[in-house]
Amino acid sequence: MTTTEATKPDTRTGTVLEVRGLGHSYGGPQIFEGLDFTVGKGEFVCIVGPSGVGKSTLLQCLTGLIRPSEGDILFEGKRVTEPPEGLAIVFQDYSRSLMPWLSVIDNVALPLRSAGVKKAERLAQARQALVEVGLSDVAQAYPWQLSGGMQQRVAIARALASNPRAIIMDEPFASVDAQTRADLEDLVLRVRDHLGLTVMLVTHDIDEAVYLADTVLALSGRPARVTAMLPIDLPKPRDQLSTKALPEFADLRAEVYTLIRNPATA
Amino acid sequence: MVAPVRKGEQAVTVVRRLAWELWLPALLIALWAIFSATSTDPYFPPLSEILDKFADVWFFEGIRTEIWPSLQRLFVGFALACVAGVGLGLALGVMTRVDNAVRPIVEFLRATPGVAILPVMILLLGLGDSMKVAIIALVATWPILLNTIDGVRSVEPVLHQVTASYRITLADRIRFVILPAASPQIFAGARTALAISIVAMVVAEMVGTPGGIGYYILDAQRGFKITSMWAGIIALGILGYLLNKLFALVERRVLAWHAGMTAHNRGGK
Amino acid sequence: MSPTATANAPGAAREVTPPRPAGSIGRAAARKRKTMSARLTSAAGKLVALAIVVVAWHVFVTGPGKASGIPTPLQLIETGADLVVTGQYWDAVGNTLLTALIGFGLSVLIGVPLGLVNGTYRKVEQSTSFVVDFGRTIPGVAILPLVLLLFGGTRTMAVVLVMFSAVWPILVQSTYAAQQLSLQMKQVARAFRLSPTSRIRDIYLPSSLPFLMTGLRIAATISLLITISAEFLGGADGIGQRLYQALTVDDTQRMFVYVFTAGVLGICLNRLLVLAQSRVLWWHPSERVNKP
Repeated sequence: MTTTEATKPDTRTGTVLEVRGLGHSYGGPQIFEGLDFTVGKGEFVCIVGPSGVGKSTLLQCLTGLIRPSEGDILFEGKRVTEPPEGLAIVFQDYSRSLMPWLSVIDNVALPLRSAGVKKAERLAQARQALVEVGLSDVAQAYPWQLSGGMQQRVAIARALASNPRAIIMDEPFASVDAQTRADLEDLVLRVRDHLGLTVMLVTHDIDEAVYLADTVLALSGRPARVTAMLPIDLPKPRDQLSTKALPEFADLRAEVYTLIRNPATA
Repeated sequence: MVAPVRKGEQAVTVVRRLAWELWLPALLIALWAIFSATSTDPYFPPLSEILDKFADVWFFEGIRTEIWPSLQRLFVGFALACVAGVGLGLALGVMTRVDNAVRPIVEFLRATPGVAILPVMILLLGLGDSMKVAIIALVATWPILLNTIDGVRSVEPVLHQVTASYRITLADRIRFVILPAASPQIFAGARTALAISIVAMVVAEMVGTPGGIGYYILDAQRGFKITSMWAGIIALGILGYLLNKLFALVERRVLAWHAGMTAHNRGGK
Repeated sequence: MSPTATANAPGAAREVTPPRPAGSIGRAAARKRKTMSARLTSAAGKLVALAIVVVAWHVFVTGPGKASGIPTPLQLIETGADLVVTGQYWDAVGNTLLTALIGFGLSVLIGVPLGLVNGTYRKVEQSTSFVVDFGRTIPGVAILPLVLLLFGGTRTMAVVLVMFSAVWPILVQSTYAAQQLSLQMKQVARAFRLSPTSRIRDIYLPSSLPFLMTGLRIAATISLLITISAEFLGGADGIGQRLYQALTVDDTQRMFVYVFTAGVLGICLNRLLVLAQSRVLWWHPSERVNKP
């Protein structure tokens, strides 16, 4: 079980997220332990692993929602003890993470309100975020009036509205159909390029992980460990048709699959 | 009073529906009028006389002197119950240990019939207006309180994660997340509380100092003014009906998002 | 005056799972904490809260509240102990319970069949919608003076008042019960060629039960409530009447014992109803949710 540091391309400078010796157990069996990795500025990291391996728990530690039982997490150099400023989260279940009594734009603007941003500026920033995800014409609608894909876009817009430096996404496309998923994947890539964000995305879909990532972080075993950090050298910009047709894509996919299924053979 | 006209409903359908919804009430009133017109029973005077007395008493002097004060007491008591019920409900809904500790006491107070609490209020506050308002507020608080606790507890757990991760302030959380999420439950409790408030108002007026519609009805009965008594009963029935309709109107407005959402979900998504 | 009716909202009753009694989520969540230490802390908390209330009560009644004549907790227990051994006490309790039971029973006998018919035939429901809508909002006590004239201060007076108030929730909930009997269920019954009795007993009745139980629960609470109110205001024999008597002769000690009795009766009724509901509806999602 080796943890290899990914070779980071030259454009990225600075470490956004640093994880040292992270482990957690809810007072019972150890869920994961000994997690060590870093995420650089502008990097797109996909965390993959089989169902139940503890990806969601890991995310909750990274976002400061849970205090891990061992280890450290540093976001932009500062220890994470609570949800840090500059980090935004997109949850998996959009239908439950958006407020059905608020309109789309009010949903997006809510975190800004709590941050003390004045109304005019708040709405402007919210509108900007909606433009970014392509939803500027449904600002007054209610979330439940929209399709699943659009609701998830609202959730992404909400994450973007406060101009974060990094986004964490918890299996964000698990609940939408394949067509919508492809659109949303490309949206995230576009947004990342446009805004220069650092992205961490948790998924169980290996294809998705390889398609999106600069680095794939494979979690496996019980207790879970990082079985590898695999640099994804596929050409950019990624494209749903041409990228996935490349032989390298298939190779990488196979490698990730092996890393997850069989921790011993790295 | 009858189901509102639905969008796109044809005029013919509307008329047919109204006919189905109105024939029975009309028939019952007609039967009442017919049978009471010739009756010699002192307790069931002719409907025509009752209606005369009704118009005579209530329009408009009676409304001002009896009904309006009753309504004032009702509104104040009900408003107090809402504030207390929602406020305490929020607090107890969030502070589960305190809620757990006071739960037996709350259960006991809720289970005690309001009419048993009435004498205690009389001892403390006498027979006047403050007693009447207090008893209304006291009995109406419980359904609101318990429903608020339920509502607060059943807020979608994901939303707690959302508010924590987006660092939503406590005030904003209460105003934009917890209260709206609990509002369907709270309104259900408030509707029950309204019905209870009306009963409490009437009972308090029957027992307390003169004034109000409850006192009017009882006083009429004691003085053997039967038609007046009936006029009062009918007025009270109509009052209860109108208040409930008013409440439903407000509820529809405030919970429009909820109605829209459930209809949308039921439409199959 | 405290029916736990979250189910009176027509919208709410349209759901497949009728709402549980308000406050039950708290209890169910409390049940989850099975560990010994957790149970001890919980019990300790309750005792502390109770102690605070008792002390505050004592302080208030011996201090600023002296003029009201409310007994101290100790006095209440003493008077209570004296009263509880007397025949007249249990006479009163028995009378109240009997009246409530008769009124409740008659409401069920009338309300359930009428409600089921009402819910089965759309035209019937349309015809009665206004009458039901109006009747359920009339405060029962409004007709108290009338029934007093007709029947005097008797049990009949109280029973009539109870029936007038308790029949509505039963009617409404039975209507919902019949309405939500899905077409599918009826088709299943026909497909299996079940006899009418089997159809009613094995399919229609169980699926109607959740709503019926809600209606019965609300009606039972109302029955007790209105019984005591009728006794208090109208003089029929029972706890309410003793309460009124004690109030008028300013025997606050005895009065308070009866206040507490009413509360205890209310609690017992509540527990009974919850128990009945969990037994009858043990299979229903609303009973399975939150169970450890």
